[in-house]
Amino acid sequence: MLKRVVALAALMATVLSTSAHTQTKVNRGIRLDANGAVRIYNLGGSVKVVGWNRDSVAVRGSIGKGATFHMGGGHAGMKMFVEDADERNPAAANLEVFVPVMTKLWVKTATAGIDVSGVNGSLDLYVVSGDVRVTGSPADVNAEAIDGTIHISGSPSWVRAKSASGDVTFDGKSSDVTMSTVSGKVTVKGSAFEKAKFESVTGNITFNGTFERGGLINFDTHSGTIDIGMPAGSSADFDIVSISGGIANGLTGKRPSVGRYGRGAELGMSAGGGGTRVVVRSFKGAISLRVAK
Amino acid sequence: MIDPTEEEKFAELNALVRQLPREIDPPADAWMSIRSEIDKTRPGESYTGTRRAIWQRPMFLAAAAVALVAVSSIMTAAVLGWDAGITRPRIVTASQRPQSKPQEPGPATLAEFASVENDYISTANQLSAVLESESNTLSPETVAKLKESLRIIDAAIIEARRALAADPGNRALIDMLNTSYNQKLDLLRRTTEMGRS
Amino acid sequence: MTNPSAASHHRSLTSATGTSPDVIRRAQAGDADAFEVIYRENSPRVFALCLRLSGGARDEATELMQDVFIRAWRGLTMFRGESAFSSWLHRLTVNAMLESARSEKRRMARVMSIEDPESIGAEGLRATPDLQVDLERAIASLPEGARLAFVLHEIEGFQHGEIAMQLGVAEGTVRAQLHRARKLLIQALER
Repeated sequence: MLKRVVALAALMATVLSTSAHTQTKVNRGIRLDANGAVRIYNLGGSVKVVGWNRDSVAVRGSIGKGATFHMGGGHAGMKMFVEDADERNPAAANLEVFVPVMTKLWVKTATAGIDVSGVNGSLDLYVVSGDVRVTGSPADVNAEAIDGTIHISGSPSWVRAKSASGDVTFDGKSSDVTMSTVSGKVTVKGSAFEKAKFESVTGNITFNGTFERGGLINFDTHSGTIDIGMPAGSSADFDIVSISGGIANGLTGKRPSVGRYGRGAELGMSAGGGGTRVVVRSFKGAISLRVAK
Repeated sequence: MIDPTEEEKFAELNALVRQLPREIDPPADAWMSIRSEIDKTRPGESYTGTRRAIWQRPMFLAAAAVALVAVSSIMTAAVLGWDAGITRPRIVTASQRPQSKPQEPGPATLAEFASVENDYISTANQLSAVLESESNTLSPETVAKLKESLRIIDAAIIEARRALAADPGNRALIDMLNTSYNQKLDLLRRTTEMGRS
Repeated sequence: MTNPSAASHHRSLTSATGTSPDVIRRAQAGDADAFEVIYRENSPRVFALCLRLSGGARDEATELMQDVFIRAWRGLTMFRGESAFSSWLHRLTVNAMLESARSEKRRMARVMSIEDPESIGAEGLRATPDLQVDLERAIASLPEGARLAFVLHEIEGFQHGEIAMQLGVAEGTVRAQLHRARKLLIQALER
């Protein structure tokens, strides 16, 4: 009998020590007000946040070897974070977090990707090299990356999406948008843009959609291309300058004029009765306007 | 067009709003900071705001000579010709960063832009110093990508600056330079913040 | 520029909150104790505006309020009494708020700190029914454009044209933002 107990204890010790070197499961919950605040820190792995119709936060997932999961707060605000033994080489922690639909959400990661869906409060999302994906209708989104990509689809009323070398994409409706990259691509498809700024240094900018009447839209690049596609009959007042690049107008019959000192091109025109001011500036990238299908 | 039901709801909302307090007591100790500031000056003296951006706080300004600062500042300083004796006004405030509302008309000539440009460069140098002091919190791959992005922006600034020097009244070029400088400051600021966990 | 007569100047320097012209004049001459009187009389109104403009972030609102009064001190000699002193302070407050860019600090301040989970709405308010606290929170949760339009028009009483000028947008945009704010608030309160 004693031999069997000792053997069983040895087996249990092995099992326990093994689990200490593998992923540890996370399954926690806490009450939170319907429009409470949630902060999440996770360096590596993934963070998936889903909005739900309960006044509570639930977290499930797994954290890596040597890491510790912490969670705490009050009913108006809470935070959770994964503490790694070696922050320079964080083990992957994969978290799936359910939050009240109107939560004010703040997430910061290094390489962990962030995926948010169904959250209608404010979103502040920061990654270094992870990718950010947002779907739904948050009140507003601020997403920043260094070399991660950002993809937003839905109808947030206010958007700021910035990456340096990653691509930034928006597909949906919004009245106030700024999308900015250095060398990444900026791709926009949608409508209801009232105040918008799409800018890059060398990245190409592509737009397909419509503007809100009375709005102000800016396209800026140094050497990327700017390609603007609008449905036939769309209304806008264009003010386009390229210092040393060209302008191709496939939207109306008006030809651009040669720029100052005989180089580059300029084009000022109203399409479809005007009403939205569209300012396009490029140092040497090519600019094209076309009818979008 | 507002439907009657909606109008009733708006009226109820207005009634509720009218009950909101118009006065809320500030923190009891708020006056002390104000008093310490106003004791330094008299009415009529200029003021740039107490809400200093993070890079203006002395504790974050590192004195280390760094590759990030050296490359970026040498490139831009060479184009500007610091030896020509261009003065450096006070550090730019947060109000010169891009805002979502329509911008006030900015400088229209190269001469007017020079003052603004000095502010940009000064702020960029300070931000770069802060970033370098914290660069060990970023991976080497990220630092390399950041340096590459800054190099791209600096190259664009230099190219636009040379074009502006040849065409000093070109408003479009000034706007482009403003955009490029703001992109640089924004990238430095964002990376500085990212470096802090 | 013609200087107003002494009598009209005396009348016009009196603020709606009753700050005496003598106090204002002494403060303009550099008397910090007189300025403290101005602060004590006006800070609750200014702080309420700062708190609502800042989306309920108390630390942010305090800093904004301090900024406003320091600007008021520095610019006090520019106040000539053409408007009520409280109106002049109001304009300073809105301008100060608009001048601060969308910094990380502002964005993070909108996420309540877990060290101070009751920071939105409850502290500093006199005892109010739950619905008013809900309304304050709902206002704090509005998108910025809608919140500014709503606070300035519905709570502070500015006209559409005045708000449009201060925010640098079209009057139509202000009306649209106001309409949106009302709809969002009704939705939030009905939940």
